[in-house]
Amino acid sequence: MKHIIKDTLANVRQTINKARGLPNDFYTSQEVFAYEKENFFFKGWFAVCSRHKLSVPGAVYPITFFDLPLLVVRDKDDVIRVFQNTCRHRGMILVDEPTKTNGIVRCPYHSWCYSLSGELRISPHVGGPGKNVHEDMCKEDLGLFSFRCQEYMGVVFVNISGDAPDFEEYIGSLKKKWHEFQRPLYYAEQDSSFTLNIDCNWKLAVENYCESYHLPWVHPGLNSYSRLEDHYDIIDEEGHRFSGQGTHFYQPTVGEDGKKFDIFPALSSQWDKAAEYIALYPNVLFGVHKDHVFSIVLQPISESKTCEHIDIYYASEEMVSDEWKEKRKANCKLWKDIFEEDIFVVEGMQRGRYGPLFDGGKFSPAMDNATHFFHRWVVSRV
Amino acid sequence: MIASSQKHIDDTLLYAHETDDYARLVEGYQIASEFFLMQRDVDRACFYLTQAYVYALVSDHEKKDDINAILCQYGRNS
Repeated sequence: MKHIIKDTLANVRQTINKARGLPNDFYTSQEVFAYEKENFFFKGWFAVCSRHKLSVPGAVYPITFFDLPLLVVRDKDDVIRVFQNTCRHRGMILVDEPTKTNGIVRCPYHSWCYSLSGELRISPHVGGPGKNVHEDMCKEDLGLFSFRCQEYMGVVFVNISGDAPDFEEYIGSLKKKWHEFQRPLYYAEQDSSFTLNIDCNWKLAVENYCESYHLPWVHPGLNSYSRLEDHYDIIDEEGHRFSGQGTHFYQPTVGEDGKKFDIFPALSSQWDKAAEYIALYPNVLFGVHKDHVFSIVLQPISESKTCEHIDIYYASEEMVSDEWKEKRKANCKLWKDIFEEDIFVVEGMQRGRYGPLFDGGKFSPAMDNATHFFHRWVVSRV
Repeated sequence: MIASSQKHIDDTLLYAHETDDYARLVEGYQIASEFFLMQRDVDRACFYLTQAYVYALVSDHEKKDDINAILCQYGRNS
């Protein structure tokens, strides 16, 4: 980070009419990527996965962030926990694939076994063949390394450093804004999720998501029912943790059979035609509509690669029954088509940032507020 | 007699490992353990019983607590 001169970042801090965007290094440098790992992700809260990846008690879900192997588990009491996915014996990866357990994770190397609350249950033959105790082995000291975790809107969040502010402080302003969506979410695993592997820095996915400026050009299909002039900016002036866009004209268009998804109960009239799309920094994108919600967890793979994990949730149990399968599949396809339309722009912006003359870019003072707000969040952490 | 019985045990366990049949692994390792207990070879018996316990634990086998109780009785687990 030393080589990124302060003057460059000072340009980002300016008001939008004078500001420049983040310098190229924020998208192309391994050094900056490593800095972001510690300072943007591990010292605060970040999204790990949808809770619904853990569909049943006993489910375990491994995922890696910045080479840190994590294991998200759901125990028999439905408590979600996040551990380092590393055996305390020889450092072996414990779980390679999402799977359902009977409440025990067994290391495939020497069969040290851990409960889903992280306790070491047995280290077989540790004192010699047939001897599972040893005076220098204290099971209580050899449980899995665990991390603080919390849930919001179907997504599991984690804090690696252990000393981030309370989750409520992190999520507070968004929770307040979307309090009407604080309800059970229903999920059909087999047809309501997909992943996209994209050749761009994770921040470009955030930036593209939170502005509506590109909609008429990149998503011309939206023009018929979600026009540019129907959109508005969303800026978290209170908590400085999210930005995005909303529309005053959301009209579900899925299917031609006249059937409509159930609506979340007790929504105010504001949501009759509104929908909002918010990037909660650093790495989760949410979309809320009266009849469904989705989350996109951004998994940074490298400074120029990102994996997007998309999951869609519905308002009632009936909506995830087989009867609604085709409609759900159509809805999932609709979103997948839209998100795939964005790939060429985020990948194009990534490639464009290898051009050394690019100076961070000139924002539209009218249309790029949400992106500029995100950039200011970034430099506030440098 | 011992060799022939042990070969049978080994064959049974190999097959159970090949097929990832945890119930059969628990049963096979338990039988092996009992076999060596009868020979008063507690170390080998507890080796097999430990194997049985691991697979019982992982599969939430109904005998997992009973198996662990025997290991604890011999001071082999806590």
